[in-house]
Amino acid sequence: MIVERNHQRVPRRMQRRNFLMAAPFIIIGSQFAVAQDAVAPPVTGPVLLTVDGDIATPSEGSAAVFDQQRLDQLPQNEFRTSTIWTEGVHRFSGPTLQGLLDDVGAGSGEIMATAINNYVVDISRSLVEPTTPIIATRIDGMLFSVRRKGPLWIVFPYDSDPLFRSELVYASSVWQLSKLTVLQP
Amino acid sequence: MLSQIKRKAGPEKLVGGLAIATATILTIAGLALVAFSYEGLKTSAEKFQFAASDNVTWTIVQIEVDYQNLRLALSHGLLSAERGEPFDLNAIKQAFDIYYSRIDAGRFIYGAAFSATLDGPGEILNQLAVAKSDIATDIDSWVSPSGNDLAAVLARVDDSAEDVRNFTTQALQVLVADASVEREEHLAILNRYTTLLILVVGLLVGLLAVSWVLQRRLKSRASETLRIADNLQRVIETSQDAVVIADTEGRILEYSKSAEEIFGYTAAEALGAKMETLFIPDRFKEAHRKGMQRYLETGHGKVVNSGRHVMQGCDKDGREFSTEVTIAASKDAYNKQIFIGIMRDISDLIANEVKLQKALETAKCELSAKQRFLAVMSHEMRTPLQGVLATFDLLDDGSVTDEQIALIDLGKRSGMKALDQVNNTLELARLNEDMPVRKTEIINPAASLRNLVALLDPLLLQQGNTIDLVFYPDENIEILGNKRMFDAIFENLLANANKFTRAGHLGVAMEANVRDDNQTDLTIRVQDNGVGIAKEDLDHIFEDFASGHADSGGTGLGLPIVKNATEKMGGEITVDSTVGVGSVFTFKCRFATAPLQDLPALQIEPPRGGPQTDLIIDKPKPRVLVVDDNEINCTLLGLMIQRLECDYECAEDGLLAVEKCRHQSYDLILMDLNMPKMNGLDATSAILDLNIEQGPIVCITAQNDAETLAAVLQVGMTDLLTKPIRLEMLVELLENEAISAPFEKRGQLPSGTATADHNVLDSNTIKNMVAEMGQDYIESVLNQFTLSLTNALVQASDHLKSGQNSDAADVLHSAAGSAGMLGGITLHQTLIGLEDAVRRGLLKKNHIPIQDCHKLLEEFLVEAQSAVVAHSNHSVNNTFQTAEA
Repeated sequence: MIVERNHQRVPRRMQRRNFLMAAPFIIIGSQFAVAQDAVAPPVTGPVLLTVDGDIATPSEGSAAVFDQQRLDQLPQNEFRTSTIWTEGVHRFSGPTLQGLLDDVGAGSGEIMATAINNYVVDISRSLVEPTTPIIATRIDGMLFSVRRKGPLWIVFPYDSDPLFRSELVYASSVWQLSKLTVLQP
Repeated sequence: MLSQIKRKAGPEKLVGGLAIATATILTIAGLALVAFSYEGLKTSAEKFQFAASDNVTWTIVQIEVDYQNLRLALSHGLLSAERGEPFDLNAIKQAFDIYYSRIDAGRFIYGAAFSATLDGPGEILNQLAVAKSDIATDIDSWVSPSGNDLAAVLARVDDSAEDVRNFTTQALQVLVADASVEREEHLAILNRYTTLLILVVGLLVGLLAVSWVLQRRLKSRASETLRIADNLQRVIETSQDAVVIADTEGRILEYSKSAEEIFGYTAAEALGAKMETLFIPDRFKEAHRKGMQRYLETGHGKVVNSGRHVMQGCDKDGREFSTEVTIAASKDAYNKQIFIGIMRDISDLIANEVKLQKALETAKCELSAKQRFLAVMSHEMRTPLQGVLATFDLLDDGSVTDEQIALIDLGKRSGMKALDQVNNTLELARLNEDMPVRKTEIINPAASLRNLVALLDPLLLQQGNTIDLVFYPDENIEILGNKRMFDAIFENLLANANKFTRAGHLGVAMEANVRDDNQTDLTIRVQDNGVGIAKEDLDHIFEDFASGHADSGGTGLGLPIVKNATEKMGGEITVDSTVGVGSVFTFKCRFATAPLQDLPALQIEPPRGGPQTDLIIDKPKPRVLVVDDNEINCTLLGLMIQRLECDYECAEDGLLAVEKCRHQSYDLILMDLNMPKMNGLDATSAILDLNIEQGPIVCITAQNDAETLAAVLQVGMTDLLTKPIRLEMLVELLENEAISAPFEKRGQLPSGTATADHNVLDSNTIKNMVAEMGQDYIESVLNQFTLSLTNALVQASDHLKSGQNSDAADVLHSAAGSAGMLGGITLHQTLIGLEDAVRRGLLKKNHIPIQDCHKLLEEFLVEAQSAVVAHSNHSVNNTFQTAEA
């Protein structure tokens, strides 16, 4: 099955969940975004992730940039899972995508993810839940390099639900992540 | 029709069963298939559920892309380096890192997708991995690489170019193959699903077909059943008997038209009502309920399923009538117990039967009344007849003229005839009664026949007949039977044969077959060559009062008596006859063989007194008491007794008799039975109870049957004499009881009394015979007599020689009788004397004076002939018509 880049069919279940679960967080997020607006600390280390598009709180120009430090300050989540690209079960940890989006005050549109090798995929907002996916910054507690699909990897807890084991999710599991663009809804 | 359906029911059930069985099997097969396929389908379905691996095609393609990007980055860097310009080392490093991670990812993904990692592409990937690791070592050692460093790495990277290309193409082929395999797998799964679907659909269709078939059958069965029910309904409706169906409570479920007619209730009134309320009279209701209860509890009932019963029913008007009922227990369509009752009003039937019964009884009554009438009449006639005969006897006392003697004879003969008729009527009446006298005695048929023949002798002589007796195998046969009846049969047969034969011959043949089972078959033939019986009369001769010809004389009762008596004994009598040739009557009967012990014969040989001997006992005159309520009887008996040199007294009833006996002892008491005040039996008991010794008490009565005799003997009487009492009987009695023996007479020989009368010939007799039969006949008779007497004398002598005294005496007696019949008085007397002497064993020298007898015979013949001649000149027309030939 060939994944369609721009049009991803979303399981209805996820749509519903997303809608129900997302609501409070959007409110909190927006609050948070407002708060952040006032106190956005400058980035010191090398920029790992750039977030632009429909965001409310850019930190540099029209984009929000994140270095390792800033990423580590975002709400974190971690889970153990195996993946179809790795051997065995590993612990992935990093900020939740939702947390990041909330941090930048993202709109409700889809997220276009770009990788270092210019791989682009549209991640449907229905796939984005409060705790999953995460933008993994550490595997088994350790940073991982480009050679090992780092430094940032959008990871879902594949083992925890068969729903994560679909082509769509796999296509959305962008490794060597470099940029997120919030599209207009 | 019904049996046809019953027969079809069996196979029908079979088909139905088969259909259901098939359906069940199909369903089970289907379910099994589903169960079996489930796992496989589940697994297949799961395959679709989630992706086992990432998009392999993308990874394969990306390997080449990232490889080329690396080369490009290196080439750019090298170009700049050669120009002496600065280059982006990070870009190169990044490109390499991307390629590096791609190779690793590719190996993992490819291995996951195609588990055979040792296939072509897999191998190439491994090589690429090795290569990349080497290059990584180089790049990682860079600090500030020169152009040459770049070129070296580029060269190393270029080494992998072929591998990368090959990998791509080969992996693609693998993909293609895999894809087709996968497609085939999918197809297979689809096929399985489709097959399953088809099977299930087929199953459904099959079930549908089965149910359709069953439904069709059901429909036809239903219509059949409907038709049957309809027919049964019609049968019930047309039945003439009432058909009622009720449930276990007795409530009527079905009620036929005939029931309406018989019981009066309409169907509307009857349905739902209780049977006992409508049909059963009150007094039987309880029994009905009990019976029903019993059946329901035990499954058995007296009325249910046990055929027809007659019961009382009642209709709407309350009228009771007899019904014939049949009740069968059954189950209805819903398997509930029902009772089917079929009822018929048989009150008419019963009424008719009762009428019939009554009519039969009336007829029987009338018949027996008729017979009793006859018997009573005859009985009543006996008494005056006794008087008549006794009177004649008394008149004939020796001092009468010839003319008077003739008249007396005529009177006696008429009287005897009348008596005969009366006796025969009584005999017949007795035989016709339902309870015949069954006196079983020992009979010696040969002896009886001989006796009867002897008695017949005078009559034979009269008719000029001869007779012979034949016994086969011999005479030593003894049977058990009723002697009186036996004698009656042959007395009549012989008399008949003799009567209808003139100057002919009679034959008696007895054939005895003694069987192993203590029975004897006796066949006796009485044959004559007389006038014969016409064919049309043969059927009627045994009927009462049918005689061959109106004037043939006789009572017409002889043959009926013969038939009756024969049949009473269990035998049969047949006749064969030809007119003008003769007749033969055949008697056949089976008797029980008499046991071998010598039982004393019940007949008593009375000792004989005789005028020529000195056995006159000199005694004072004996005293006789006559007890009879009939004055005439008393007088007559008294006169007879006086004649016999005895004194007599009369008593007209039992009481008087007892009174007399108190004061006087009598030498003989003659006791009648039926008397006023006290009857003969009671009187006898009373007299015997008295302490005065009396002589024997003899019963004189017209009743001559076993019961009377038994009663008489039981009460203490010594003998029984049957009225009418004749002088001879008294003589016999007096001799028997050793009272006196003035005379000797034997049997009922209608001869003249033998006082000192030495007439050779009683001319009257001859005169009469001539008048009756004609001269020629007389001469023939006289010849016969001569012959027979000659023979008799010889026979008697022979018997004497062999010591058979009684046989000799019999012969002499017979001869004497014949002589008497013909009027040869002296001859008669002499022969009687001889007989007597022989019997007492007093014959001089035990020798019969044959020559003397012959002399007497000649004397007689001479006288007789002259008389014949004398009288035939005065011959008068025959008043006595002989039976025509």
